[in-house]
Amino acid sequence: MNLILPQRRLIPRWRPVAATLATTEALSTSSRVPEEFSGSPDELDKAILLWRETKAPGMLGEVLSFSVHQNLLQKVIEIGHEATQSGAPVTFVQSMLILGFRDIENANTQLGAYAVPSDESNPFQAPIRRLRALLRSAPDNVLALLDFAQLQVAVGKTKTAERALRTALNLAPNNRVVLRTVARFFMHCRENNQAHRLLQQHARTSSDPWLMASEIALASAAGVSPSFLSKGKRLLLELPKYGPAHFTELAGAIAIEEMNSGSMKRAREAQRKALLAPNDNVIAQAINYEQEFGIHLKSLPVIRALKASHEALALQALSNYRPDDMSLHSQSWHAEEPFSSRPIQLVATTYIFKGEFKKAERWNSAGLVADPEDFGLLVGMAYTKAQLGLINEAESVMRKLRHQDFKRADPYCMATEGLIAYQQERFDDGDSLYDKAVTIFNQRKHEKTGAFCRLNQTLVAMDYEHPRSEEIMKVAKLAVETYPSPDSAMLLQIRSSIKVTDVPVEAKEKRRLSQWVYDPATNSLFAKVGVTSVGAQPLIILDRKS
Amino acid sequence: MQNSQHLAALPPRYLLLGKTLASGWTLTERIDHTNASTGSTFGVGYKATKDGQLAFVKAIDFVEAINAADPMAELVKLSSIATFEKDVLAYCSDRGMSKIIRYIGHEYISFDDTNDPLNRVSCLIMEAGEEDLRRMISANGQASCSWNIQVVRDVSQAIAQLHSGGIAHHDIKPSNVITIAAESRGSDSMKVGDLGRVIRQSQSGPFDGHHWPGDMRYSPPERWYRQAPGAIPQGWNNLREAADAYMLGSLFVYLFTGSSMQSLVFKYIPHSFLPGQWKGGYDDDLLPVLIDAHARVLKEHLFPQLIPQVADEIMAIARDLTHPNPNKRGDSKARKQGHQPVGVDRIFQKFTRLALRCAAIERGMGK
Repeated sequence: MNLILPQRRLIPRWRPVAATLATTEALSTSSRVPEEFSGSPDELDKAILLWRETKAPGMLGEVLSFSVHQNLLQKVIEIGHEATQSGAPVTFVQSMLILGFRDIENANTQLGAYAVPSDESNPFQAPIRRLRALLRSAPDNVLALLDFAQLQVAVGKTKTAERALRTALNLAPNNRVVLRTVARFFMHCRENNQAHRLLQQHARTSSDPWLMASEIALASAAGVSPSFLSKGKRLLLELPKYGPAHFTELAGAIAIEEMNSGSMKRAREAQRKALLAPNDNVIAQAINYEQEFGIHLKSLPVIRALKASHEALALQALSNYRPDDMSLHSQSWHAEEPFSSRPIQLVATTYIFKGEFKKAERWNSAGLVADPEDFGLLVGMAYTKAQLGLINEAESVMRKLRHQDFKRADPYCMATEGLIAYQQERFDDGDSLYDKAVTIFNQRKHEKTGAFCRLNQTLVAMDYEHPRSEEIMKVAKLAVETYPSPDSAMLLQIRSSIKVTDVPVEAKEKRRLSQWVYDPATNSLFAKVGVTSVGAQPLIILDRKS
Repeated sequence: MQNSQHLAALPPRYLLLGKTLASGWTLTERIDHTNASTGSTFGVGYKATKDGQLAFVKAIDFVEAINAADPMAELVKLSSIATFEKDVLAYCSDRGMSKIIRYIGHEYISFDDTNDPLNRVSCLIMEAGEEDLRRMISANGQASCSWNIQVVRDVSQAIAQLHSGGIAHHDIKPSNVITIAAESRGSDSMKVGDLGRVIRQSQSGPFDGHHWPGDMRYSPPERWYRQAPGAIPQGWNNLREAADAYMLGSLFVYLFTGSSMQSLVFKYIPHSFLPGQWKGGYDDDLLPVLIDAHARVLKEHLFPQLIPQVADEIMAIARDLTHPNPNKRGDSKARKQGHQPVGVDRIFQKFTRLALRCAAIERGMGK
C-alpha cells in the first residue's frame, strides 16, 4: 500500500484562526500608516503615585489601564510585578493580567490555539466544548465559528460545520479569512464548483491578491478557466508597492498555471516571485513541485518559511526518505488541519511501513471520520484490515472502494486480495492477483506504483514464507531500480533487515533564484536577481578583460 | 522664605486655601491629585464648607493664558471651557438629573486685594463627593455582586439622564464615579462627575471638534483606530451615545475584575491588529478579531465572577454594552427600533431588576 495523495493545489489553508491571524494572509494590503496610540507618561506617573499612596486594587486597575499604550507598557509591567511581589492587594483578574503581559510582549498567541494531542481517543471534545461555551455567550463570534466548524469537520459533522460557516459568512461577508475558509470547506466536501463560484463572484476578489490566488487555484480544481488569471498577472506587477508577502500565493498560483500551460520560463519567474516571501502554503507547494520547477530552495526567506511549515517539512521528509521525520511533522500538520486527510495518510502510511497496523488503523479511522470517501485512506484501511486478519472488514472496505471508483480502485484491491491469498497460503492465487495489479498499474503508466506493488509483494511473500519468494524479490529489485519512488525507498529503509535493493537517489542540477556577482575592478558585490540557468554557481566573478 | 517664594510662583488658583467665597463657602482643603483624578488639566480642586455642608470647588484662573503664545486665543479657549462646564452642570441640575453631581453656584474671587484681573479666579461650586470608585474596589471580592450592580445601575441612570438631555459624557471612568457623603455603600449613593468634556447634541461646545474629548484609555474601540476608514460612525446615537455605552460596559467589567475592559481586551488582540499597528479599515477584517477578543474577556474574566443564577443575563448585557461595532452596541431590543436608540435607559431598568434579584439571592431568598 503506497501513498495516494491527491494532487496538491494552492487552495487556501484552513488553520486554527489563531495561527492564521499571525500570518500576512489576515492583514490588510493597505499601505496606510497607522495612527499612533500612545499615552501620557505624566498621567501614568500620577496614577502610580496614587497607587503607591493607597495600595488600593482599584488604583492598581487605573495603573494597569495604561497598558493599552505601547509606549507605557514596560512601565506598567514593572508596576504590575512590583504589586505582586510586594504582596500589595490585587484582584485575581489583575494578577492574571499581570502574568499575561508576557504574552502581549511576545505578540499574542492565546487566541484559539487548540493543540490536538493525536493519541487521545477523542482529542476534539474539549476544544469543541470550549468553543460551544464561547459561542453561547457570543453567537456572533465569527472567528470562534470558523474554529468550531473546523473541529466539526474533523469529527465528521459536515452539516453542523456548514451551518457554522454560513453564519460566519453572513456575519462577515467581506472577511478574507472567512471567504477563504468557506471556499476551503467546499473543496473538502468536493463541491469544487461552489468553492470556485464563491470567490469568482465576490466583489472583493478583483482587488485582493489572496482571494485572486484562491480563485485561480480553485478554478483548476473545478475544471474551469480562472477568471482572474490575467488580472492577477497585472496585479503582480504592483508587487513592489505592496511587498512580496501579500503576493506569494498569487505568484504561486500563476506559476502553476504557467507550468500547466507549458510556459516553464514564465512559470519559474512567477515561482521566483512567490518565493520572495513565501507562506506555509506556498513553501509546501514549492517542495511538492521541487522537481518540476528545478529551483534550489535555499534562500533565507525559503528556509525561514520551511521551518514554520509542518506540511512542507513532512513533504520534504518524504522526498528525502526520512519516515520518522515525515510522521512527526505530519502529526503537527494534523494538529493544524485536523480535518485534512493528507497528513493522516502520511502518518498512517508510516505505521503501515513499520508494520504497526493497529496504530495505522486508528489513524485511518480518524481520517475517514472527517472524509469517509478519501480514496487513499480507504486503500490504506483495506490493506491494514487485511494485515490485521480482519478479512471480512477488509473486503467490505474494498467493496466500497470498487463501488466508488471501480477503475481506479481495482488494481489496489487486487494487490490487497493478493496479500489475503498469501496469508491463506494460496500462493498461486496471490501471485496471479499481484501480477494483474502490476500489469494494470504499468498499463496506466503508473510504473512507480507497480514497482512499489512488487516490493510490497516481496515483503509479504517473505512474511508468509512464500516458496518462491527469492524469484519475486528479483522481479521487485529490477522494478524498483527501474522505477524508484519515495515510497519504495522509505519502505526499504524501514524494512532494512530484508535486503532487496537500494533505491538510487537522483541528484539533479538546479536553477537559482539569484546569484552574487563580484566585480574585482570596483571591489563590489551585488545580487543579480532572476532565475538562473541550470547548475549556475552561487557566485560569479566578473572578468572585465574578456 | 522658600515656601513663600514657591507660593509666589504658583498661579492664583493654587492659593485659595482658607479663602471664603462671597456665597459663604470656605475653601478648607486643596485636593492635590485633582489632575490625575479628573483628567482636568487646568482646574484646581478644593473642599469647601458652609454651615456644616460640604462642597467641591473647581478653581480656574487665566494667568497661564495671558502668558501663552496667543493669549487671546488661549483666553477664549479657557473661558469657553469654563463657561461650558458651568452651563452644562447648571442645565443638568435644572433638569433634575439626580445622578449627576449637583451644581451649586459659580462666582469669582480675588486671592488678594489688588483687584488685578489676573488675580481673579473663577470658582465653580458643586456637590462634593466622598471618594471615587477606584478606592472602593477590593482585592478579595468583598464587594458583593448586588453592590456592583447597584453601582452600575446608578451610572447607567446618570448616562440615561444625560442622553435624555442630549448630552454625551464621553469620559465615564472609575475616577469620575463618585460616592456622595453619608450615603456611602447605601442605595442611591453613586453620581457621575466631571462634565467638562461632554458633547451636547443641540449646542456646540469646546470639544466638538476633538477626535476624542475623554481619556483614550477608556475610549471605545472605534476610537482606537480613529484614522481607519469606517471607524467613526455616523449619527448621534452611534457616534456619541454608543461610546458612552461602551464606557459603561468597561466600568462594569472594572467593578467585577479590578481592570478596565480595554486593558483586558488588548491582551487578546493579535499584535498586528492592535491600534498603532493595523493598517486596514474598521471593517469586516478587523471587527471579528475585536469581537472575538471581547467575547473571550467576558467569558474568561467576567463570567467566573458572577452569581450563576444571573450570570447569563449579566453576560448578555455586558456583551450588548461592549460590542465593538458601535452601530450594534446598546440594548439589543432598542437597537431594533426605527431610529435605533442605544437604549441606556433600558439597560438601567435591567440593572435595577438585576440588583434586586442579586440582593435577594445573596440573602438566600431568591433564585
